[in-house]
Amino acid sequence: MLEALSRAIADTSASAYIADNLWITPAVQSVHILAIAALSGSVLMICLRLMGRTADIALSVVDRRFSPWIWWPALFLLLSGIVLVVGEPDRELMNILFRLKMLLVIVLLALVALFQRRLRGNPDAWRGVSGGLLGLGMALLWVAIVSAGRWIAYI
Amino acid sequence: MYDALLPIMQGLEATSVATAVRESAWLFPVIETLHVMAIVLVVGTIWIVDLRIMGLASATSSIGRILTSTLPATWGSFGVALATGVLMFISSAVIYADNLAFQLKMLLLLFAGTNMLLFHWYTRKGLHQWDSVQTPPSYMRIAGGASFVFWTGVVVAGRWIGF
Repeated sequence: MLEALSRAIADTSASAYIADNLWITPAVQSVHILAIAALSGSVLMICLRLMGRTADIALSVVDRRFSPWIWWPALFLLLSGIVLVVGEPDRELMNILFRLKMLLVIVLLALVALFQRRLRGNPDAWRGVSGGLLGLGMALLWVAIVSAGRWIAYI
Repeated sequence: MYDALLPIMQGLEATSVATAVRESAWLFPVIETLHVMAIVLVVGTIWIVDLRIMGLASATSSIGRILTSTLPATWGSFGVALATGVLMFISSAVIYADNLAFQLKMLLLLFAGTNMLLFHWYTRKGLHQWDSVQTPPSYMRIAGGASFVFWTGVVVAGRWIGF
């Protein structure tokens, strides 16, 4: 199915346009990595706070400050990511690490949503072990996502 | 490149560490992955401080608390970014030293570092008095804005090295 999709995308004029204009891919990759930086700083601050490794700022304050800086960059990552896929559909869609990365991104964003949902229902929801585990889990997912993303170029 | 630098770059490339990175099938991508992780955390955490001292975000948290929360991660990540960057650089020093995007990245790093030193020097006595104000004085906001621009440039220039 993905193979057919990849071929269909490769046949579009948009794909040809991106392939013909050599500056588009690095320019869009630059936007992609800047969005990753914004998202990563925010994920790190939430993870460190959950694991008790930052100044004692209320978790609800940390949530309000940093969660939007996960979701907005995620939107930019999606849009820039789509351009990159359209430009080189075979390189991405047919790559096992790209597929793994997408799966892990969905899990990470689901955890962020869970974090926000529970916290807004109960400010003490992530006190103690559950918060520490969530922080550690999100941090490990982040490591896996960035690793998979970088290795798409190598396998 | 300046002819005087060429023998130095060739010497770096000839070291056993540089040769190992260059000839291994997996060392370079592993080092590069660590470099990407480190640099997005360096820049991501510095942006948090920049936005705070520009008065644009985290206004309810004091500057001191923001620094306590971010600085260990910033410096730890910077150490990793520097070490992995040196390893990648020496693996092909002649080519990188002659690469315009790489030169620009180093220049922007120099600007960012100078800006940071000046900021710390100017605020070394006065930071506590601005710690809790929502909008810091103009020279701090300018330093924050400059830092934001320089570090953004570092990432973008870095992305273009490979193209």
